[in-house]
Order: sequence, then C-alpha cells, then structure tokens
Amino acid sequence: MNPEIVSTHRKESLREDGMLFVRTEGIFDTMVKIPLLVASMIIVAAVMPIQSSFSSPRVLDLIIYPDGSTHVSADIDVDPLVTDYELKLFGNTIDNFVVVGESGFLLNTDVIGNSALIETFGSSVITVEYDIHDLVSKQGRVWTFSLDSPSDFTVLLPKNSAIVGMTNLPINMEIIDDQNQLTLSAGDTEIDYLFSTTSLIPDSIDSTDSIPKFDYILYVIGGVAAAIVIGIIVIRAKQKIVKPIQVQDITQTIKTKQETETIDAETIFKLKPDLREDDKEIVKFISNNGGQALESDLRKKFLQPRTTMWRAVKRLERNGVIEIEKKDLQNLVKLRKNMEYEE
Amino acid sequence: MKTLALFTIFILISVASISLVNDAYAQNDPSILLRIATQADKQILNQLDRSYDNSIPSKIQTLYEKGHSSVESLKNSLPNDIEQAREDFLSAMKSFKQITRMISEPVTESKLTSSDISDKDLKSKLNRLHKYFQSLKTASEKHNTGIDFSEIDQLFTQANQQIDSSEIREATQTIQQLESSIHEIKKKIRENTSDSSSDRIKKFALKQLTHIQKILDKASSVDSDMPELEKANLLIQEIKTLISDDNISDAKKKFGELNKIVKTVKKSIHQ
Repeated sequence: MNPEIVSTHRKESLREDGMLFVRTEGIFDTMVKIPLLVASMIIVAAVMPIQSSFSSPRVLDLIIYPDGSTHVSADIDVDPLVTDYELKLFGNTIDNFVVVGESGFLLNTDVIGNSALIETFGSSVITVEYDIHDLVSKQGRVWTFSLDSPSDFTVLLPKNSAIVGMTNLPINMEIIDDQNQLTLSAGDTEIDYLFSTTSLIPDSIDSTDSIPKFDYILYVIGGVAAAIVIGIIVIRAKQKIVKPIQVQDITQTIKTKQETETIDAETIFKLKPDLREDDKEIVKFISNNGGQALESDLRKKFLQPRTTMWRAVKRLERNGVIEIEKKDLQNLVKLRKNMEYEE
Repeated sequence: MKTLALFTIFILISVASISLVNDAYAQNDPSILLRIATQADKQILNQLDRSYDNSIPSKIQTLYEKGHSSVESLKNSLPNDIEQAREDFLSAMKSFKQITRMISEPVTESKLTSSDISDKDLKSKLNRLHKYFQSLKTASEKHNTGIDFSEIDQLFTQANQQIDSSEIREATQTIQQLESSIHEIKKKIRENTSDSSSDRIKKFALKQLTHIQKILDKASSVDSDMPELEKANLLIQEIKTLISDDNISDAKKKFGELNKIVKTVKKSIHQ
C-alpha cells in the first residue's frame, strides 16, 4: 500500500479547460485510512451488544394478584467490578424485597423510596424479587395495570380476569394454570381487565399459529441476501490472494467434524460429577433430544417458571456443559461438544 | 487489509440484520391479536347483556359496534395485512376500554361483597408471602444453613385452610404470625451465612485492590510525583486493615474514596 499520490496523476488529468481530475485507483486506501475504518467498525460491533445487555433486566416477569398487588421478578446483569448497584424500582410501596447474587447469597439492600441500593460485591448477575402495590389501579369494576418497562417483560394476569383494553401490541400469549400470560415489549403499557365468572381462556390457541410472519420473513430474506453477496465478495477476494489457506480449511473441517460428535449424558456426568440432580435431568432430556432443545421446551417439560429454568440453564452454561444460542427470539440450549474435566 | 475491511463490513451487516430481524419478530404474532380482541369482544357483550339487557344506551351501542367492526376487520386483515391488523386491534381495544369504564361504575357496589374482597386480599397476601418465603428458603438450602422451616410450612397450611373456610380473623392472625416468623428466618439466614458472605466480600475486595495496585504502579512509572498516588496507597493499606478486622461497611466507604482517586489517576495517565 502506497500512501503517496504520484504527481504524474495530476499532470495526466489536467485538461485544456483547466479542470482537475484525479484517478480513483487507490484513493480508498490513500484517503480513508483503512486501519482506522476497520478499528472503528470493530469497536461499533463490539459495543452494540454491550449497550443492550448491561443494566436493563434480561428477564422481567410480573405476576398480578387478585387484589391488584404485583410480584416483580427480574434477573439483571451488573458490573462485577463495583461494590454497589442502584436499582430503580417501579414504585414506592414495596414489600418482601429480596435480592440474591449468582452464588445464591442474600445480598444486603437498602430501599429508599423508589430505588434500592444493592451491595453486589462481585456478582455479575443478580435476581431481584419484590411485591409492589403501585402498578394496578381500580376504577369501578375495571382494573388497570400500567408499567413503563425498560425491557420486554411477561405479565401473568389473575385467574378469571378478562382483558378489555390494551394500549400495547403483545408479542406472545400463553395460558399458564388457567391464567393469561402476556409477553410485551419495552415501553409504556396499559392493560384493562375485569373479573368474570364466565370462561375466559381464549379458544383455539394454536389454530392460527401458522399465519406467516411477513415482516420477519422479509427481514430474514434481506439479511441473508446481503450476507450472501458480501460473503461471495470476501471469498473471491480471499481466493485471489491466498491459495494455501484451502489446506488449512480442510484440516479445520476435519477437526470440526470430530467436535460435532455429541457427548452422551453419562459421559457428561462423569466429567462433571458435581452437577445438581435437577440439572442432570435437564442434561438427560437435552441429550435424548439430539443434543439440543429450546429453553421454552425445557420449561414445559420440567414445569418450571421462566426465571428458575433460566437460572438452571445459566448454571449449566457456567459449568461448561451447555452453550446457549439465539434462535429467532428464543434460547437454543445445546450440549457442548468439547467438555473438560471438572477441576 | 481490504479483505479484512470487507469481512468487518460483512460482520457488521450480519449483526445489523440479526437485530432488525429480532425487532421485526418482536412486533407480534398476529394471531395473538385476534385471540385477545375476540376474547374482549365476547366479554364486553356479556357485560352489556348483564347490565342493560335490550336497552343499551345509544352511545355505548355505537362504541360497541365500532369495536366489534374493528374485530371483524382484524379477522379479515389477517394474515396478509399485518399493519392494518395492528391498527384494528388497537382501535377495538380502545373502544372496549371506553365501554368498560362507562358501564362499570353503576354496578360496582352490587356485584362485589366485602367478604369476597377480604378473602381475595388475604389469599393474595398469603401467596405473595409464600413466594417471598420460597426465595429465602432456596437461599438457605443452597448454603446448608440447617434452619428448620417446618413450623412456617405448617403456618402456611393453616392460613390456607382458614381462608378457605372464611375464618377471616383467624387467617389474618396467622398471616401476621407468618410475617414475623419469616422476618426472623431472614435474620437467621443472614447470621448463618455471614461467614461465607464475608469471605466473598473479602475475596472481591482483595481482587479489586490487586487490580487497582497495578494501575497505581503503572501511573507511578509514568509520573511518580503524582500527589494522588500516595493517598491511594494509604487507602489501600487502610482498606486491607479494615477487611481483616471484618469492618466491611467502613472498608466500603474507603473503597468509594479510592475509586474516585483511581479515576483521576487513570485520566492523568491517558492525558
């Protein structure tokens, strides 16, 4: 790469009318400073996931009780290098506040008004649970749940409640123990509901599930097409430059093939003798399921709440037994192929 | 270098595409909208029948027709016109919300009796308390504190039975007893885990101090006359002493001071 502009370019491009033309060959390298561009892009790519993962709850589940009080359960990523974490609560009237660190320790907390100071001391994930009386109000027979949520969340409505008004579009709806559980996106949400003696579980839960998600498909096609085009450009560029890499690729492929052999559950238990019994059951299920399963399927199989299963999955991930991949909006839990003996 | 640049652009576009896909998927599953709107429509119709029989006020009738036609339009919009479906959903839910507010006021007193509310409130309170207790119990079992929870379990059973048989006063007393017992349990758990909790804090603090010491050493090699260095080193010694004396709260305060100084030192190094 030659950063200098050769003077002959100028001579060649100076025409009779006095206009100056510059040859574009090499101008990108010369003027844009590729290393700078690459470095800034890498930084942007690295920062993007961090911004969305720190400080806002990664799991936020709410349960509304028949008297309008609400139980809040949140798993939050915190900076393990600081001593405290200040959490903004959803209101002032808080009961039964409890925070547990990732190692299961009860953490010291100080709740003042609508914020809580939590002594995290090295925890990277904390689980916060509390009851709050500020989120539901009642006018006549209508109960109104209002929340400005920093992240996507689920809300389990009381038994025999019927939704009669809503200001937000729901992402999902499930029936859990005859109760409606809605998944909603971040931002302002208001749900009106009332209690009724008639049957309130909606009909044909799965009948319309086959309706295509057009937006989703369009974006996938667009993303894949863009990725393929750029992928081809990169591959062609590579082929021109370095041929011997192909040999290395073949070796890599063989290595990858060896790694893709699934380890059975018994081998995992030998490698990781300290696994909890309930975690072993999860591992067995994943192993019998071909080495992978969706976290939602695990919840259904073991009848566990979202947070409990999430903690179990994270525990297995920390133990190096599984790895978590994002598939659509769901967590795909896969048994790791290359596992190490427990120290 | 060009290949690297292209590869980075490829990665960036892939990341951006994935986030776009997530956002798009996060909008909604259209069938859910229809399920909720249909359920609300049925519910509103029930309410109107119950409240007015055949003499529905014209304003409410108009609102209901608007909401119902939005539900019908929602049915027709799916699966092809998602944007229209979203609009129909919000329009229907808005109409139903207005109707519910209009019809709920006059019938409130006659429909809900005080005993119903008491039962419901106590049951809710008991359930919340049980969830809280479960969190504490899990933490306790995880650290093998050996605390006996059988008495509290028994109190929960008793309170449930009392609520089911409408013994409101007795149930209230049992719940008060439960609150006090759970409070005591929380204290016990803290006492029983205080040693390992303190070890955890000490471990964290010492790790952090080592990290800070490295920063100070680096700063010292750049500018050994920096006035903050001496103060920071002094604070490190103080924190170590406080930690060995189990004086965690004072150590934490000093930690705050030290962190501020370290920030200043870091800035000086980078200038």
